[in-house]
Amino acid sequence: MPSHLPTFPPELRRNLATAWSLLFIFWAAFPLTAQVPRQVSYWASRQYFDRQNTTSDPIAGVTDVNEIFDNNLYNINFLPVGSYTVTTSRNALWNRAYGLTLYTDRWWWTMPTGRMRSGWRNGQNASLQDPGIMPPIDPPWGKANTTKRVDFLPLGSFSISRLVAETQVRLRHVSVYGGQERGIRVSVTAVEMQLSPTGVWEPGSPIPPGQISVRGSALDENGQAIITLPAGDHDVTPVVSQFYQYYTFTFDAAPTKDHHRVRSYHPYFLSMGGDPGAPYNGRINLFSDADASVADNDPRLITRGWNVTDAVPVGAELFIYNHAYPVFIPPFQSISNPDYFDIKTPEDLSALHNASFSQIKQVNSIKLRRFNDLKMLGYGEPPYVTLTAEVARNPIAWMHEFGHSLGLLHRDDSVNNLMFNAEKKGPMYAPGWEINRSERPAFER
Amino acid sequence: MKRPFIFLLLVGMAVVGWFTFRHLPQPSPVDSVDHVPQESGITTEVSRVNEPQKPLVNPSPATNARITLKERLSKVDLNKIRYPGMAVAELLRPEDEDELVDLFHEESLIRNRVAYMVMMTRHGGDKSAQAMIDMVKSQKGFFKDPPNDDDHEALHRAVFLLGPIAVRSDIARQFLKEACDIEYWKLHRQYSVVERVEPHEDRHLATDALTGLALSGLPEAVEVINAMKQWDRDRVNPWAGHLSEAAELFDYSKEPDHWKYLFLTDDEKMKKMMNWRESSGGKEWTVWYRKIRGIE
Repeated sequence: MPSHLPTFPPELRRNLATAWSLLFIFWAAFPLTAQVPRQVSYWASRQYFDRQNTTSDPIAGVTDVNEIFDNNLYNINFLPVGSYTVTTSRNALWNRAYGLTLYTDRWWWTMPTGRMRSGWRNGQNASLQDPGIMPPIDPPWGKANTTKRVDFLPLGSFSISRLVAETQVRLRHVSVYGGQERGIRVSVTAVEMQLSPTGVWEPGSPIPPGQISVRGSALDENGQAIITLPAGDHDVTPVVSQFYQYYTFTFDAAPTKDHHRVRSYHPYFLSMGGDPGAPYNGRINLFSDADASVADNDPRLITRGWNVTDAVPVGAELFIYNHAYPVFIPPFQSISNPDYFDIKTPEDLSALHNASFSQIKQVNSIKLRRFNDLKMLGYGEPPYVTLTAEVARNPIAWMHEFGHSLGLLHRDDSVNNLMFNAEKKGPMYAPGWEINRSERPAFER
Repeated sequence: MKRPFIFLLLVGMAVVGWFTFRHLPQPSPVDSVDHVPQESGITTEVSRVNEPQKPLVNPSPATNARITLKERLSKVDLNKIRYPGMAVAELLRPEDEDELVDLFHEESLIRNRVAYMVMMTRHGGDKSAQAMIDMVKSQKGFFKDPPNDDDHEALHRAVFLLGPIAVRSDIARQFLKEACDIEYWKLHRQYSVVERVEPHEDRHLATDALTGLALSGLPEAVEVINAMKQWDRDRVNPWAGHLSEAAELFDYSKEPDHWKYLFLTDDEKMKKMMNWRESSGGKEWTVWYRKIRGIE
């Protein structure tokens, strides 16, 4: 070690080594955390337990609603279907004492098991009862749990006592992008519940996904929808068509794919008015497909099969950033020797396109004499994109070529396809955004 | 007295002979089926059904040729400012050239002649070549924004499209051999372009002639490519991309039915291009190109 450098006592050297080690660990771990810029978690935040009697029982004909677990994050202590018991009401007195006691304030409950709401039971204060072992929280979560037909009047008249548990699902979106809305794919399955003649709840047929929506987005036929949310906690409770009164459901959610690409452009643009630009401030999403997003009150929701289409919502967004050095590097700055501004040969195009200094290159024009149109508007080949100034602000052009850069080919079965080849109509892009199942993984990988 | 009698006798025999033989039935491909020997109980109509090789309406190309090219083209999807597809190529006949040249001349805008020029590459010869060369050489005026001017682009494509015609036309062949040299255009180009492009316009025309000649597959193309490849780096640098492209197109010219190349879809052309780049020849040219360009 050179003598002019300061020295430290051994114990301090050890501390320094520790400090350096910690710094190294932090430095090494930082990119790992940065690679997960978004996460979601969800839970049943609130449940309503609702008991309603008919007007034939004016005493019991009230609605008792209790909200439990509200703001009690991650406490999804809800009963799986069938884990509770229902006891027949013996008489009005018993009913008042037990039947109306639909819950205990803090605990999961079995209703009505005969537990008193208050007072002493077995030498213990009922309001301080041990809740016992919490049931597992696995889905399915239910909306409608039970309805019980009870005969309690001597004249033989009866009322229907309906007990309903409604689950509200909340989702926490942890996002480094803060208030910027980002995509989240939600998946829901629901099964209609029916009361058998013997008073047992039995699962019926699955509810068609088109009858379910989350935050206004109807599920596609795959039972999924893409919603956009900023960072924070949000209500994502599935809404099922009124046609289905009682059901159980499962819920899942995951962040959509964020693609980040850096663009740069030929420096000669600066002599022609400046940056050719990018669409929507550099942000384009793919989950705006019209076939897969309708409002909750859309009448199509109650018409089975309305959403029969090959198009699926795609959970992907493209974020375009300016290169730190926004113009091409040498030798691609050339405008005459050769011309990387107005490209004329496949070799020039390929050389620029495959240069790694930037993922998206913007040029003035691409004209290859061999190709059928007098000009090309863009060129996509894995892993990059080259675009002309004519489509600099055209989001479909960007996403079409971006699709090529992800390995997709043209698909001509509908003019509404994002990857439709509009060749026969001249140099243009089709107006559609639709993507099918086979194309979706390319964008969502 | 004998001579007039003999003369009258000969005249009389001639008249009788003419009158006798003038109405002999002539064989006809159309109605010959009516003269098929009839077997007992078989009508002529049935014979027609049983003899598809002798239809009343002959679907041979000779019959289609009676329909004008314009009429045939009206039944297909044709965009005048882009290359036509294989459906159009299959309509074309060698005898269409005159009409094709007429259609070419009917269009006042160069851009609207693109599809016809590509059609000429199918069967066109000297007439097609002369029409295209005249258009290029007589072009005057000023193109103020070439990258966005389809007429300017179509003019360049005319030079390129002369290539496949050169296999049948000495006029086109001779023109392209001369036009590969930038000096030719310095002498013959009459139009001008915007200042940014003007210094390079002659070179661009020469490269179009080179790539066109390469697509023809004529041996002169290889001679030019090899000669230019020997130039020193600074000199060949602006031409490098075109030389590589010419080598690629020349390779295509060795394939059977290579006339189809221009009628392929862009996707098909792109696929061929990718395959060529993966070939040993393509890789060699890419290495050479990157070396000339100084691309790491």
